[in-house]
Amino acid sequence: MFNINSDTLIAAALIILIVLFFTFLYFTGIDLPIFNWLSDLIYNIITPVLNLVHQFVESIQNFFNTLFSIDEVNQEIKDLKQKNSILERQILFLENINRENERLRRLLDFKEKVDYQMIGAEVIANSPSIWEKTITINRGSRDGLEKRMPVISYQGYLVGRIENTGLSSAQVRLITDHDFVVGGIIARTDSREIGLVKGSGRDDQPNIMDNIAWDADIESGDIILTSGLSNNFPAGLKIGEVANVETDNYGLSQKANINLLMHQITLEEVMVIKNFNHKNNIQNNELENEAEINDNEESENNDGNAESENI
Amino acid sequence: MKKYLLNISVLVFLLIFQLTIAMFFPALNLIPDFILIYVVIRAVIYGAKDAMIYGAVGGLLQDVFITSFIGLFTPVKTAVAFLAALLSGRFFPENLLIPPLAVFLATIVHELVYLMLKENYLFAANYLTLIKEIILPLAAFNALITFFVYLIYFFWGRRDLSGQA
Repeated sequence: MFNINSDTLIAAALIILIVLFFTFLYFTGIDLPIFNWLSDLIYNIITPVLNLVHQFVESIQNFFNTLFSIDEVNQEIKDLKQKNSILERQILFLENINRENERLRRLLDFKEKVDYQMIGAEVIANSPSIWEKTITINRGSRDGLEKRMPVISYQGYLVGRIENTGLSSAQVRLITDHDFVVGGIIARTDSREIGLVKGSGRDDQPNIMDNIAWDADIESGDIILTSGLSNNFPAGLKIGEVANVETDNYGLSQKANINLLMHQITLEEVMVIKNFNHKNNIQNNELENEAEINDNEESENNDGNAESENI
Repeated sequence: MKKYLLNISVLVFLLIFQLTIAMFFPALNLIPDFILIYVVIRAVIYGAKDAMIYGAVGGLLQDVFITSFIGLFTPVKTAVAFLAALLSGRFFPENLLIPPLAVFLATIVHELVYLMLKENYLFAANYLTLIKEIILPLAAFNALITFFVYLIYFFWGRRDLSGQA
C-alpha cells in the first residue's frame, strides 16, 4: 500500500533505535552527565532569547499603553503622589509600632518570626505543552536559585516550586500541574485539619484536597494554607479557598475542591523564597511542642497535687 | 548541513513562539503545537526520514523546557512524524485540505500517546472528557493554523515555479 524505499526504512530504523535508547534512559531514570550538560546548554542558549522577547514585548506594550492613556497616566501620577504621602505617614507610624513590638518581644522572650529571604522574578515564558503547567522566570542559579524552592505571588499566594534552574532562568512547576502535591491545612481557629492539595492539570478546574479525615471539620469558604509538614514549603502560604466538600474512599475520608487564589491574578511577576530552612522550622516547632507538653505536664502535676491535697 | 541548521533554527524559533504566545494572547486557553505542525507538514511533503529527524529534534527542544534533555516528546513526536509521512507522495499539492487533516489526526494521536506514556495521567485521566474538552479543540486549532500556513507555502511555491513576481 505504501511505497517506502530501503534508504528511508534504514534511516527510520536508525532513528527509532536512537529514540528508543533515549526513551529507555528516560524511563529507567539513568542520569548521563553529557545529556544534563547538553540540556543545560540548550536551555541556557534559548532562555536569553526569551528574556529579550519578553523585554521587547513589554517595551512595546508600555509604549502603546502610555501613548493611548496619557491623561489617565497624569491622573494616576497625581493619585499616586497623594497615596505616597499618606503611606509615608503610615510608615512612620508603623516604624514606631514595630519598635514597640520588638521591645515587647524581647521582654516576653518570644522567638523572632523568620523573614524569608526572597527574590523577585518576571515570568518570561509559559509551558510548551498543554499537559504540563510550568512557567519560566528570569532568575537562575546565578541569582542563587535552587531546585525545589517555593515560588509565591506578590500577594503571598503559593504559585509553585522551582523544577529546574539555568544560569539566568528557572522553570517553575505550577500548583495547577498534575504532578504537584503540597500539604494543606485549614486556616480556622476552631479547625486545623490537614490534607494533601493536588493539581488538577487544568487551569479551568479547581485543585483537589484529599486524604482529609472522615470526621474533619471542613466547609466551603475555608481558606487553605500550606501545612509546612513537608520539607518543601514553609507553613502559612495561602493556597486557596474550599469550594465544596464530598466524601471519598467510601466514606473513609473526605475530599474538597479548592479554588486557587493564584487564579485571581495574572501571573506576570513572582517571588522565590530562597532561604527557607525546614530544619529550623521543625526544631522551632519541636521546641514549642516540648514547651507545650511540659506546660501540660506541669499543670497536670499541679492539678494532681491539688487533688491529693484536697483528699 | 546548511539545510539542517536552517531547519533547526526554524524549530527553535517555533519553540520560542510557542513558549511566549500566551504573553501575546493572555486569554488563550489552548497552546498550539507549532513544532508538531511544522514536523507534520514536512512529513507529508518530504517523507519519513526528514520528518523523523526534525520530529526528534523538536521533541528534544520541547523536553528541555519541561523536564530534562530526554522526555516523552522526543519519542512521541518522532513516532507521529513517521505516521504522518505515510501520506507523503499520496496526494496532489493542490489539495489544500490534506495537510490540515493530517495535522488534525496527528494532534489527536500525539496527545493520546503522550497521555498514555505519562505515568500520572495513564490511569487517573478521564480520557473522554480530555478528548472532548482539550484534545479535539486543540486538534482543530492546529489544523486551522496548518491550513493558513500551507496556503501561504503553496502559493509561495507556485509563484517561485512560475517565475512570476
